[in-house]
Amino acid sequence: MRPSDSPDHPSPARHPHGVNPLISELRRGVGPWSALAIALTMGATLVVTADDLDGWQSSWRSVSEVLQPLGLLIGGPMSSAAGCWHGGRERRNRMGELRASGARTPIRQLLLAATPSALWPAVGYLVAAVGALLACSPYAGWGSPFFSVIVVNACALASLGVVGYVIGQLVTWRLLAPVLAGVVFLCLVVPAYVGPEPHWLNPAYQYTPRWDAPLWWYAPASIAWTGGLGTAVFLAYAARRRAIALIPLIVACLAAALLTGDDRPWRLDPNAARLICDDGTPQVCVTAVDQQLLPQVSYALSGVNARLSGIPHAPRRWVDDPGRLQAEDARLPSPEFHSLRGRLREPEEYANWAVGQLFQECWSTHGDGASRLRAGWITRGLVQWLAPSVIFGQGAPWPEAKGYVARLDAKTPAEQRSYLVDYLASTSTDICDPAEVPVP
Amino acid sequence: MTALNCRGRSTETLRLYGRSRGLPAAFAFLLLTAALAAWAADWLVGHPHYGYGARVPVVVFGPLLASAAVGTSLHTPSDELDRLSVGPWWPRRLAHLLGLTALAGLVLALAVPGEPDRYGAAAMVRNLLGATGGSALAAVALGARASWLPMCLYTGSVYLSAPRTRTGAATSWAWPMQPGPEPGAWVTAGTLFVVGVGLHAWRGVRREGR
Repeated sequence: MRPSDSPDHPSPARHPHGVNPLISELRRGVGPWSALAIALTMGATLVVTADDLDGWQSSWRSVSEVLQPLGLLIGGPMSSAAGCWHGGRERRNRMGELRASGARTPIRQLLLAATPSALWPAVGYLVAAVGALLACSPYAGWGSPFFSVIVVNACALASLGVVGYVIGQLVTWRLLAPVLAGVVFLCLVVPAYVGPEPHWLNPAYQYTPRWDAPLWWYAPASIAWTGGLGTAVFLAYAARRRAIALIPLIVACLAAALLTGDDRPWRLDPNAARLICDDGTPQVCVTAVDQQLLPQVSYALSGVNARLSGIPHAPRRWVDDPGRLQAEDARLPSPEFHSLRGRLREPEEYANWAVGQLFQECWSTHGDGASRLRAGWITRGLVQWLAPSVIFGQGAPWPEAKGYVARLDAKTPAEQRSYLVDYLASTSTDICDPAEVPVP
Repeated sequence: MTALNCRGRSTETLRLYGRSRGLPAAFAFLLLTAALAAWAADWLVGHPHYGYGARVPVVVFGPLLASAAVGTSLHTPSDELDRLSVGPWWPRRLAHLLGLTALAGLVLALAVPGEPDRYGAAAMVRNLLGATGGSALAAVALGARASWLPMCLYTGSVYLSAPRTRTGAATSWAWPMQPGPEPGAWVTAGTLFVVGVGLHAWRGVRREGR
């Protein structure tokens, strides 16, 4: 028996799997709580907003569109504040003096100490993101989530945690953590308030990618940008040779130059914008991202289509993409914006909206006041007759328009059809004259 | 002579109390917050894009920052000594919290002049009461250092999720986002304030480690 092998002093050789210092750092302190706080707050916000008009469960795109600002605006301040707290606590406990007596180099020890500040907020965000993706998966339909964007966001949170850790180590102030949280929040929010241009450098920038997808270099460049800044701050604080912090700083600057360059990092994805049509007359065409809604859209428009079918100047197709409308196409309102969890919210209102868009161009632009007003009432009445809306006339009585609806209803089917022919003939000229719009 | 001594001693006590709680820094921070809020509100109202709700961010986050300053000032550096004191502590705790809240309410209300029912002074004061009450509650439960955290998370979440319609239960749970006189919002914020101030006066903040 070797001298150190007494029961009170077991030799290290008997416990080859002692507690890993990283595990022990990760388990203690504010880290797990920050992850829990981020996951719960994001989860609660997602649950509360699930029934909103622009419900995030409609598609993979809408869920990643909501995860980005939500994760950064809730997680970013929280991550930096938790890091700041953690760093400040190490300073208050005089861990620096203890570290100076350690065998490992200061940078290795600090790396270990800062890891929870970087890792836990990212974990909290990822838990919430996975939950949101699972909640979205039964309704999402075509495509797949933008996993790379989720990784980009998690990396931004980790960087903010590290920056918070360094600031907490350096500054002694009780109010530091909330003030840092406020400053981070402002830095993420203010660019959105200041201008409408895309801010690819702002990790919280909410991009609305209706048919767009990130290019392959978007995620690596964004990670290099936020991760480079975080690494540079950490190295400037912890490295023995501070100049080494210039390397990640230069990487971050190069990535920033790439992101803000002339090449947009998000481009139109032809697969997502592909048109999928039904075989009705007029045809109903939605883009691939909304293809699971096509049967419902076709059904919602079936009443209108039955009346428009075969009439000269009636649209040949309903198309949801203003960029590709051809001469005889009518613009279809985007089904995604009118749906919730894979169902068209109100099919009647959707059809009414579509018909309203079809006729709106004539009465709103040309002609004198009186004829424009009259054409407006006729058009409102016709829209209501073609695709009845429950809220028609609510808030405003519109007696003229109601009168036209009643007159259209009173006609025989043949008279109704001939009126539609006359109406569409009058409004389909290049310069539509409201005075020419026939009275039912 | 004795009276003079007494007054001198009580001023000295107040000064020591204030310094030990970091009150000068808290005062300065409150004034700075109000100045920042006034500037931001002015800029937002002058901006053509933001109509009715232009002042929402100021009215939501200004009081939150102020309540963080109030909450973190509730710490005591000599908890055990305080508990040995002969006189009761609750009046001092009460005066501390009410005094700071009153000062913060005054400067923040002045930061958003005009239209008190449209994210103006009324909403500012209501949000300050609610946020301070929440921070005081958190200080009792978690300690002064973390007192700002629960309100921050709650407010951030509500800011991103509050419904656009301002009726029904939402006026109560989304109270920081209401424009002004909604009774539900005032009831929630007032209850938070009364409970927070009361509990803090009764129990004091939780002892914290380093």
